[in-house]
Amino acid sequence: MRERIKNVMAELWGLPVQQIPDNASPDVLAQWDSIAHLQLLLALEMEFEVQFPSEEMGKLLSLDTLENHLAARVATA
Amino acid sequence: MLTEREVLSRQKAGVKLGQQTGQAAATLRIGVLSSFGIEMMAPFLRERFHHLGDSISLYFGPFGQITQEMLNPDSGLYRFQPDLVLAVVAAEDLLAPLLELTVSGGPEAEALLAARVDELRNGVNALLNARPGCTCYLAALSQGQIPAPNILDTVAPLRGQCAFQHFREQVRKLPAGFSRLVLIDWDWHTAGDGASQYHDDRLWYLARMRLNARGMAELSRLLARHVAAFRESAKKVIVADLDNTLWGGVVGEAGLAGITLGQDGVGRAFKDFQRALLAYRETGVLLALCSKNNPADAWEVFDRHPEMALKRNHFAAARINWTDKAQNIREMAEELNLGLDSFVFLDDNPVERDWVRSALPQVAVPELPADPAERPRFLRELELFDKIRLTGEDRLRAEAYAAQAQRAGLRAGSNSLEDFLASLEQVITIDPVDDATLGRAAQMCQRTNQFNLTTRRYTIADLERLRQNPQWELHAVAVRDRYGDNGIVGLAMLHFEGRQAEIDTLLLSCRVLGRKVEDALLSHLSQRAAARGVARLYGLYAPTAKNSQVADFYPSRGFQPAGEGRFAVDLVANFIPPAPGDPSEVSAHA
Repeated sequence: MRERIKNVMAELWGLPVQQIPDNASPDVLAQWDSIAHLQLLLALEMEFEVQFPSEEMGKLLSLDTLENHLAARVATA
Repeated sequence: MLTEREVLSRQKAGVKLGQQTGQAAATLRIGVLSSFGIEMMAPFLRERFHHLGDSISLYFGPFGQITQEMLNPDSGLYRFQPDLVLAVVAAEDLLAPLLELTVSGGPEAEALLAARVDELRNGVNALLNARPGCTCYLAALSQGQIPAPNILDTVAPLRGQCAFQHFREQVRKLPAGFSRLVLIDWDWHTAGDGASQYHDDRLWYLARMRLNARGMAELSRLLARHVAAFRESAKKVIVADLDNTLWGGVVGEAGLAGITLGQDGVGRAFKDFQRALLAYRETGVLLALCSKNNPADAWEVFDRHPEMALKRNHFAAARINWTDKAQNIREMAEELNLGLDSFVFLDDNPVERDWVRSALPQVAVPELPADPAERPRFLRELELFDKIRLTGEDRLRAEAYAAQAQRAGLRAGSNSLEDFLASLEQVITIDPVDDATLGRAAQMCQRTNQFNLTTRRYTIADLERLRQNPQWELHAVAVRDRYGDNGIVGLAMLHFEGRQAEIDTLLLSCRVLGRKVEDALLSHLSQRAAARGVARLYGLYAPTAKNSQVADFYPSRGFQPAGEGRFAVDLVANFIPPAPGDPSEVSAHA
């Protein structure tokens, strides 16, 4: 799960996947601005075939929260 | 419509391009102004313009400030110095107050609508004046989330759907006033997919975005398409195959009645395909034919099949033979004096398509759908012939080329001279030389060498004198055809002596050789002579270095040698009728 998310980030932001740290967040990664955040969520929706609720979209601001959220969604799907 | 995967892959490609190119390397500076959040469009724009050969640098103005940015000379837009400005206007943003009304609009609503359109016009005007090299592309979105669900809105004047339609109409008229304003008719282009494919309510509420990723990708695609059209990179020639392309079946085997073409079933799809070709022709695209066929079989379809929308004269060039198609296309490119990169080749046969693709990589060869029913739409939706606006020249181009081809090239494709002449619809007019034509008659006497039986170099004064002499008749021949008026192209002079007459001069301009004009003229002369009671008509031939082609002119038309370059025909016994099977219309006046 974590690696899949990292791969999406790496492709989307044009980075080697090794440069995505485990504590990735907008504070750590310069690429992760507000537009990039939306792009990331839309790309993850495609990758995992889910749809994020609008109320969650603004809160999923780290690799950890994304992983937790997606893991729960995919498990219940 | 792009799939989600395609959208994502374009986005990724665009992100990579954005990392590769610094601002310094940009070949095109694009300023984007929008009534809503649109920064997410950046990678899609980079990806599409990369396909056009441009590396772009981008500026996004603060959203909702389109006209402010255009009107203020100190705005970020002007500091950016754009070569191209994309202005994206959603009617829902511009007309927001209208949508909050709970009752019908009325004069205030109308005033608001007019004011918003005026603002846009003023903004564009300021931008284009301030930046003479800059082109503005205006995308107007009026298919949004409002007011679709409310069916009451359909009839409310200037409210709801009515207001949106009104807005759309007015925005569509804006480019008329500006040579460098191009309208991107978003609603028109996306109507088939539906507005909901391009919108995500979550993005609207979270980021004030009225387009989702697919919408951004589609708008980028449309912008690039319009920019390519503005740069006039459209293809100029369509080369079409015949059997199973313009009609169903093989005419050489099935015959005229056996091919599939008409008002019903698949025959109608072939006819619509022809109509789509004709529609392109009206926008200045030249049509050409390339078919492996017997010319007679193929042309018979054009001339005799009642359901053919395409006629012979619609084609600027044609090759109906058994030669390799790449070679034929190469020849037509030379004939039309156009580069192979302006050619598009349409053929149902994948083998021919592959061959042309490999032999002539510059030629665009679309993958024509195997099912004929899918082809009319496929052809209409080919994006190879986009033009921003049509000029008078565009409308006339195909006619001008076809005229040239019909007069010169198509003759090679006609299976008989009669066919060729019939397709010309030529009208031959023979009139006595008068004040208006005297100068031209003298000029032809001086200049005509090849089709000139006696090469007598009469001057204008000579002709004037002979014209007054009742023993002489001077006849000028004019030829007009469906492609235009050739003017006076021939002269014949009859000299009467009692019951005899002599054709003193008979000459024709090279322009109309091989079109049986000489036969019409000779027929007219014999009728004139007969009408004046002449029993014996003499023709003269005086050889020169250049007129050998007419050495047999009189003998081949029933005249008997009479010594010393003279040939004679007995008019009582051998009245010379109009040339047999001559399809030309001849109007002659004594």
